[in-house]
Amino acid sequence: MESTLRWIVLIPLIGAALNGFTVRMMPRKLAGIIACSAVGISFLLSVRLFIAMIGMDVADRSLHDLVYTWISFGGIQIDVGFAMDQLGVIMALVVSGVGFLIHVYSIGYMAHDEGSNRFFAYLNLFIFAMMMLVLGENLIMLFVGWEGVGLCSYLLISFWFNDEANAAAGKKAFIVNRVGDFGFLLGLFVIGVNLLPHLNPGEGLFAFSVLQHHAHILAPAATVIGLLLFLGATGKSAQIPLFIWLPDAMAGPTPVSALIHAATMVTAGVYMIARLNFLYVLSDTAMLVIAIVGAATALLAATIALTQNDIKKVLAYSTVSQLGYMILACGVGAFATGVFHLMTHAFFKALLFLGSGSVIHAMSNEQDMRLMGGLRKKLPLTWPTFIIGTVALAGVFPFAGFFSKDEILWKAFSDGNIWLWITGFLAAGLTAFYMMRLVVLTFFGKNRASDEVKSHIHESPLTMTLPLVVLAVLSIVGGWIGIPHFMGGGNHFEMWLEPVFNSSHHGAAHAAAAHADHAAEVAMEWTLASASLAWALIGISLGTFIYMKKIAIANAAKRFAGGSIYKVLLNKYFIDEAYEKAIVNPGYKFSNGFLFKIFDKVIIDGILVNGSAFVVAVTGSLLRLFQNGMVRFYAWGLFAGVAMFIIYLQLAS
Amino acid sequence: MTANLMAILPYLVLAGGALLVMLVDSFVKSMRKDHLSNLSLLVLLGSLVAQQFTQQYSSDLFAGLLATSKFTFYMNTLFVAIALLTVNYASSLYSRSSSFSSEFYPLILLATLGMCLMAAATDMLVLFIAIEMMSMAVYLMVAGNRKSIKSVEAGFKYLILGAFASAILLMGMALLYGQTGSTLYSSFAAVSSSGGLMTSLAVGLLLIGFGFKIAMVPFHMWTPDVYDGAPSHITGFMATGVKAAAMAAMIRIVWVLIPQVSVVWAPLIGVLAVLTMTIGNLVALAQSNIKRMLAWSSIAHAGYLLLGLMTLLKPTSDSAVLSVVADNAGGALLFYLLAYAVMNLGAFGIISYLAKNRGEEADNIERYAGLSRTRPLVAASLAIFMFSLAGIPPTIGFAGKFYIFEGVVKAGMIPLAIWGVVNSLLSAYYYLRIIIVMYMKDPEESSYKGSSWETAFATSVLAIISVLLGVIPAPIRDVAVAAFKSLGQSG
Repeated sequence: MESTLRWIVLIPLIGAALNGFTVRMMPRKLAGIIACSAVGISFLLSVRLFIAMIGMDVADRSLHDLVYTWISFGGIQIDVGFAMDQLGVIMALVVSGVGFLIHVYSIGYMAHDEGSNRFFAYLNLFIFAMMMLVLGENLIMLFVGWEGVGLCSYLLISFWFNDEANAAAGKKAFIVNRVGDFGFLLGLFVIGVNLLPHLNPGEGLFAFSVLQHHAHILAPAATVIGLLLFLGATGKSAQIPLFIWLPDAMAGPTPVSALIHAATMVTAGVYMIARLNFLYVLSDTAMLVIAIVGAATALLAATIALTQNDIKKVLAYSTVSQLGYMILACGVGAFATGVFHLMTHAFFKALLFLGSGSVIHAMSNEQDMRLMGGLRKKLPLTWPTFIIGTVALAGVFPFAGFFSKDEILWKAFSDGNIWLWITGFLAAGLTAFYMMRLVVLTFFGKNRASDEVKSHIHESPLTMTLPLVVLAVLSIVGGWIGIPHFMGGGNHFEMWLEPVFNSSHHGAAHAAAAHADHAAEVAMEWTLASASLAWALIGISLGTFIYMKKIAIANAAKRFAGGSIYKVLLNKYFIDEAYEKAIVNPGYKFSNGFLFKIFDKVIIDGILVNGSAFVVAVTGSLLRLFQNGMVRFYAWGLFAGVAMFIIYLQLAS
Repeated sequence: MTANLMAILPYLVLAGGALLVMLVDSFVKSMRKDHLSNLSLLVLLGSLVAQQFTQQYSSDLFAGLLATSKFTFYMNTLFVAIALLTVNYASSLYSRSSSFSSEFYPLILLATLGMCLMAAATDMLVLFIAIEMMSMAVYLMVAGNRKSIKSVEAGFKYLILGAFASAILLMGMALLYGQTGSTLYSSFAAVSSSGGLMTSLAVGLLLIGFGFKIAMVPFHMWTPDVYDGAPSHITGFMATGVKAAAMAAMIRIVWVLIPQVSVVWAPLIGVLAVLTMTIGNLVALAQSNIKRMLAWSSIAHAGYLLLGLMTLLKPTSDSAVLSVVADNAGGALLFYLLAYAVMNLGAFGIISYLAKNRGEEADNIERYAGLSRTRPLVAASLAIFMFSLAGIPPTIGFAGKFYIFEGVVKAGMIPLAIWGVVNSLLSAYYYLRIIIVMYMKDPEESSYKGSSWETAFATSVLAIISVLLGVIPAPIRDVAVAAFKSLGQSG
């Protein structure tokens, strides 16, 4: 059974190869079917293993599939192998499950696109890389997957590469991620250097099980390792300071935004931290930094989302904000809760993106919300599902987002740092508000589009609406597996993940649960939960009220303080511009002025390349003189060689 | 006696097959040429099958004249595979063109037999006969294109210079016999530790004899002319098969003489390894003829092989370390022979594939322009072979070089390893040029186009193997190490 694991990973690769190598010959429908079934099979196999895992003892719930030893020299052993434990199976189910729905959706969405075969090949390739990331049994496999999803993300952001802006967005994503990946690599090196002398024979250097076993050796370097790896996570999971690429990444086709830039790839950083929880708990500093970055990102992105007019940009900033919540959860040691939010977020954010895709599809590729409105009646299936996604994201009871987000806020609160909680709480209200703004602008009021566009508005085909319905159901019920104890639920989700995070009971969350007065504790949980529900409802009501009835308030708010606050938010705090001035421009000047003109042109090209090429060419032509084609000459050469051997022998002995 | 005959069944199949093919060719006039090729393929496959039945290894066949082991098994498989591919490349050529005659088929079977015996010989006389059996057949095959002056000239040159080399080799054997009074390898142990100047000289002459066959500088000068003149598939056969056989025989005889060799000759071999790879690469840079380029590149690759041999010979006092290092170095050498055969035969296969339509050699690099457009699969395969020859991962060529250099580093000769890597870098220039011509230039009227699907198929398989074993080299490498270990303790 354990060798099923490799097929979960490999089948999407086969699908990618089938579509990729026959990109011009394959009929479009068949390409879609191949891609969907590849991911579907992967999903079914994951389900099969999940069911098998439920039937096992808790201690046995760890499958391992060693394919072969990749590298073995100098005491370094790195295997190509896959492992699946409670965390891995959740990730595999989310990736392949949501991935499958988005594949199905893409059949409809990309039906009119010339390059749909290439699109499906990339999409399958992405699922392969993502599976490698979540099922790899060591950090190197994770890194290969990490880079693989980065590549696919780049390819898919600039999928319509004829448009300069799309190509630029792809490059931006790639380059910004490079900064993070550099940190990640350094983190790997630090692990390697510290661990290598202590390994027993046969232990894989970067295998998670080995890392966990030897975690105490890494303890002195835990802060450095943790922060370096976290730098990688800030790139991939779009946190401060590297979040700037994600909003631009919306240039890709909408299913890509849903799959890669909302549901799966961007959660890789969260997964990585959760996977290495045993390392992170060794460093309070690293954990604190993570929690602060997460909370700050959640709030910062939520404020930017208030002012954006592009429907996908709002959702993108919302994603950044929600990822901030997950990171915050990890930072306060509530890894299971972070993963819980990862899962529910995958459902409702994929739903929202796909819904927005359906809207964009209907509006003939218009993305500006100022030109939408009144779509409620025209899109009878998209609109209710979109509302479900919205309330789930806003955190309304009993939708999925409520349970996971509330749990995060509770863990942050009980961790003892009230500021983390306040920041998260503020952002939650903003979330409800900007989502209602989006909904009202898009679905209510009058349609503000041109007549030409208006005449084309239509509900999307079944392949697109069916995934919406499935995701909507998941957005409603998805949270119920994690109903906390104080509400009388079993909190099955956390219990399931318990063994993975067993070794890292960290922070006040657990300590408080153990020591504090139980009744007071429950009362506090009820209070906070009610407060956040009320807060979400206030956000929703305000949003509805302002944008439906009193748009004047919004306009007044824009002019507040001379309009400067609005301007700052609209321009995303001018962070892009600041990076441009502080990093890009000086970097460009240095590269062009020194590296290119002096170092490259003069030293590399001039002295090293052309200089050595000249020497080589001259030597080569001299040597060719010996090659005159005369047998007699060659025979003499032979005997000269013999003579040389004999002289050498005389000298040597 | 029966046991002995059973043990050499694979060789008997080759010998009998050669005679059979020759007789069929002479007496069955109605036989079509491609049936001869199929018959030869059958003989070669039969030899592989026979080998499966003779897995009881014996170190003492015919009173110590031959020994079979995992080593011979590994080498035989390699030789027969090389011959299979060569026959595959040749088949459509020989059935269409009148300039080639069908003696090729018995000759290649005999050459293969010679190569197998070279790896199995544990007696100098058997070794010499085996070498000559291979060489004679190869001389004739080089001159196989009767209507090409270049081909005939190359065959003649090779014959004359080869005769000199054989004489030197024989001189070495005679001196060694003079010291021990026996031609058996097993009797060398006595002299190898205590031997004087005469033994050293004998070993030196042996090294020269083998060095000639593997194109070691300064005994390499025949190589470009002969490789260029010979028909492409024969060049591929020589560069891979003949070289591997000479290397196998050299490893085998040197291994029993190690104490002697390592003290006196190891430093010189190191120097010659450096010279061989450097000169090979430098001159290859300036070639515009792909066959000459690959000829010089094969000299450079001989340099890498010598580097591996050098690690094998390096004197060490610590015997435990020695045996581990030696096993790995020997395994690396055997792996490299296989890697080089895969990538180089692939390259020569494509050259002979492209040659067919025109009846001339496809050797002008400029005329590979736009091959990626006209023959995408073939171009992709050739690109993989070029990457592999340049030692770029993830190809088998990278794995091969990696193991060799790993051994060199472990033996503590880091400067040599660095020089090897620098050479690899140098070689990338001329290998990648082919790829640039194929992929970045537009096809022209004069560009080559091939036709034979058998060759295209075979080279695609080789390309896949190149990548596959580049990603997962360890299993084959383990086999190579085991093969080397089966030679037993050194002298």
